[in-house]
Amino acid sequence: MTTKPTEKRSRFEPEPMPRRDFLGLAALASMAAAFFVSMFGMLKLPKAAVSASPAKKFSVALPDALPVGEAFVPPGRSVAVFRDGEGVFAISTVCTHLGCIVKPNANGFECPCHGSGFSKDGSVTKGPAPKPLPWLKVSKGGSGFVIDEEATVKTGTKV
Amino acid sequence: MKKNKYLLLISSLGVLALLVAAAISENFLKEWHAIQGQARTQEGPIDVKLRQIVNPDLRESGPLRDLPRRNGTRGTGPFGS
Amino acid sequence: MGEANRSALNEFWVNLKSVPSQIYRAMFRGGAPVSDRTRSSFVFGNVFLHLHSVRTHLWSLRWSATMGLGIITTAAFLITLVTGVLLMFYYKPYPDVAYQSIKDIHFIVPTGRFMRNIHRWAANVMVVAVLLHMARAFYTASYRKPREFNWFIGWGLLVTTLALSFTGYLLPWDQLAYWAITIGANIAQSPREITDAMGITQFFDIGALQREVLLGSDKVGEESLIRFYLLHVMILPIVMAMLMAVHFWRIRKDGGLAKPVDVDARVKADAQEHYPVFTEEPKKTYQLAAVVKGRTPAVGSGPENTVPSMPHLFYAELGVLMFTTLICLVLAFVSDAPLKELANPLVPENPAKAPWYFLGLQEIVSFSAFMGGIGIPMLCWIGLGLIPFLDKETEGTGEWFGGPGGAKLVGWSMIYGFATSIAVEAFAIRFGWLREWFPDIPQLVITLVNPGTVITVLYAGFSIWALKRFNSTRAGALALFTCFLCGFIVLTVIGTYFRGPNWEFFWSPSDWSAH
Ligand code: HEM
Ligand code: FES
Repeated sequence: MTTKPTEKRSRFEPEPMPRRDFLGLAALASMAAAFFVSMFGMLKLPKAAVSASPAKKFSVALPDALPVGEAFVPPGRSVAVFRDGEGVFAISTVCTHLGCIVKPNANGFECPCHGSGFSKDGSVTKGPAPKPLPWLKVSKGGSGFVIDEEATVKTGTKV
Repeated sequence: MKKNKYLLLISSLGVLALLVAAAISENFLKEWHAIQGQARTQEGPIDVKLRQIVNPDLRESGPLRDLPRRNGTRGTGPFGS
Repeated sequence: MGEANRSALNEFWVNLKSVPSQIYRAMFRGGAPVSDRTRSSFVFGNVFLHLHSVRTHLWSLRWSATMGLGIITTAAFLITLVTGVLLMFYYKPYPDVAYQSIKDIHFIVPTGRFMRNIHRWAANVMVVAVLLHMARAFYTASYRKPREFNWFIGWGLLVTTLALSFTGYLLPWDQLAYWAITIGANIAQSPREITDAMGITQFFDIGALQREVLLGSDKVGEESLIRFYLLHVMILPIVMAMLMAVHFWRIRKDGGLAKPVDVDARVKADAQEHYPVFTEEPKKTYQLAAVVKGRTPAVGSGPENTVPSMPHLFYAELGVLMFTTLICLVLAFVSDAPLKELANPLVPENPAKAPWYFLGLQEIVSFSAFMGGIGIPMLCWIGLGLIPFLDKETEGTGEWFGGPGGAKLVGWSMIYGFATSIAVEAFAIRFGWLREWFPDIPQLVITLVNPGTVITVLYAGFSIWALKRFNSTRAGALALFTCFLCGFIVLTVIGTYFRGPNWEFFWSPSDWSAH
C-alpha cells in the first residue's frame, strides 16, 4: 500500500475531523432513527392493550329490609348501594384522593387513609379528596339491580 | 491505616460472633424444634421429613400446604379465603 | 540426544506438576504487591480494582473526609444483592402465592428468616446511607467542577435506590405492602388533580397513563406484582450496577475525591504516620505520551501525600464493608421484618402507610395528592440535580460546610428549617386547613396553597435572604439544602410516629384506638 505524502502533522495536531462527512452523517442519522423507532416499539409493549379483571358490571339482590340511609355493600365490590323513597342508587367507595376504600358511617363516608370525609351524597366535607365520590349507573335487571362500576351518573340519579 | 485495620478486625469478629449466634438459634432454638421434639406416635418420635403432610383442619402452613386440595379433599384454604 | 530427551510426555508431566504454581502466577501476574510498582499493577491489572486510582491521597483516607458513607451504601447494596438472590430461590411472584412463599421463607426455609431480615435491613441502611452520602457530598461542596457529572450520576443513583426499595416493598403481598403500593401508584395518577381542575383530563390523562404503565392494569393485581418483581430483581439492579461503575470510575477520572486547596499543608501531620510516599520520581507523564493535554503537576516531583491504594485504601474499604455487614446483622438479629395478613383489596389498612422514607411525602399528600406526590418532590429533585450548575463558586471546596456562611449559616438554617416546618404542621393539625373553613373552595386553590407549598415558599424565602446576605450562591444553597433536609426529617417523623388511623394526629402510637 502506498501512502500519499500529506502535509506534515504532529501527534498533537492530528488530521481534522471532516466537517461535512455526508456518508458518516447519513449512517449515524439512520442508526439514530432506527434506534428511536425501535424505542417506540419497545415502549408500546409495557402498556397493556387489554387488562384482565373481573367484570365491572354486576347484579345485586338488595335485602328487602334495607333501612333508608343504610349502605348495602355487595360482597367483593367497592360500592355502597342505598334505597330510599325515591329509588335505588349506588355510590363508589373508592376514595377520590388516593384510592383507599371508604367506609360508610352515620354522616356519610370516611376514608381511613388520609382522613377524607364525604357526606351522604358523596360530596367532600373534609380532608384532601379533590372530588366527590362518583355515583354509579344502576339499572333494573338481573337478580334485582345491575350496577356498572365503569359508568358514572349525575349525583342524585335514582332508579 | 491502623485505624482501618482495627475497624476491619473488630467488625469481622463481630460478624463472626453474630453468625455463630444465628446458627445456634437456627438449629436449636426455633419454636418448631420444641414442638417437633414433643410430638410422638406409638412408634416413637416423628422425624423431620421433607414431605410433611399437614392437616388442613389445623390451618397450618407447610411446604405442601395445598396437597389436600389437589387430592380433592379440599378443606378450607390455609388462610381462610 | 537432547532431542530425544525432550519427550512430550515428560513435558506434560512437568507441566502438570507445576499447575498450582502456574495458576498462582497467572492470578498474581504482577508479582506480590510489595513495591510501589507491583502495588500499582495490582490495582490497574484487575478489572474491578482498576475503578480505583492506584494511589490515594491521605486526605481522602481521613475518616472525616467521607465518613465512609459511599462505601457503606455500596456495601449495603452488595448485601442486598447476595441475600436477594437467596430469597429468589423460594419467592414466587404471584398474588397470594407470593404471600405464602414469603411466609414459608420466614417460618420454614432454613435461615430464611435471617436472610429476609438482613435483606430488609440492608435495604433500609442503603436508603439512609445514600441520603447521608448525598448530604456529605453537598456539605463538603464536592459537586463542583470537575465533579458536576458525578453529582449527576449520584442523583440517578438516589432515584434508583428509592425505586429499588419501593418495588421491593410490594413483593410480600401482605396488607402493608398492598396498601402502600396502592397509595404510591395513585400518587402517580395525581397529575389528574391538575388536569381535572383545568378540565382537560379527557384529552390528556397523563396521570392515568403513568399509573397504568406502572401497574399494567387498573389496580394493584397480578400484573403489577410481576412488573414490580421484574423491576426489583432485574431492571433496577442492572441500572444500579451500571451507574455505580460510572460513579466510581468518575471519581478516579476527576482526580480522586474533592480536596481543599491547601490540602498539602493540612495533611503534613498525617504524613508522618506513613512511610515516604514516593520512592521514584515518575519520568513520564501521560502528557508526554500525547494522551492528555493540560497541566501535569506530577512531572519531576512525586504526587505528594498519596499512598498506594493497595493496601491503604483497601483496608479502609474492607473495614467499612464489614462494619456495614455487622450493622445489618445486628439489626436483622434484633428485629424481624414485618409480615402482616394477606393483602385484601377491599379493606385498607388503617392507617395505611407508605415505606418510611415516603412518609414525609405522604404527610403532604394528605393535604394535596399532586403537590405531595409530584409537585414538591419534582421540585426538590430537579433542584438537587441543578446544584452544581447554580453554584459555581470555588471557596470552601472539599471542606465541611465550606463556603460563605459556613457552619454558622447551616446551624441557623437548621433552626429555621425545623421551626417553620413544625410551626406550619402544628397549625394545620390544630386548626385544620382551607377545606375545613371554606367547604366550597375550589380544588386548585388547595393544590396551590397547602402546608407543603407554604413550607416550600418559606424555605425559598430564607434561602434568598441568605444568598443576598452573604452575596454568595453557595450560601443560598447551604440554607436551602439544610432547610429541606430538616423539613424532610420533621415530616417523616410526623408521618411515622404521630399519624394514626384515619391519618389523625396522635401523640403516641399507643393511643391509636383499636379499629
Ligand atoms: C447507590 C448510591 C451511591 C453509591 C453506592 C455511591 C458511592 C460513592 C462512593 C463510594 C464515593 C467515594 C467517596 C465516599 O465514599 O463518600 C462517592 C463519591 C461521590 N458521590 Fe456517590 N454514591 C451514591 C449516590 C450518590 C448521590 C445520591 C450523590 C449526590 C446526588 C452522589 C454524589 C457523589 C459525589 C459528588 C462524589 C464525589 C465526592 C468527592 O469528590 O468528594 N453519590 N460515591
Ligand atoms: S385515599 Fe382517601 S383520604 Fe387519601
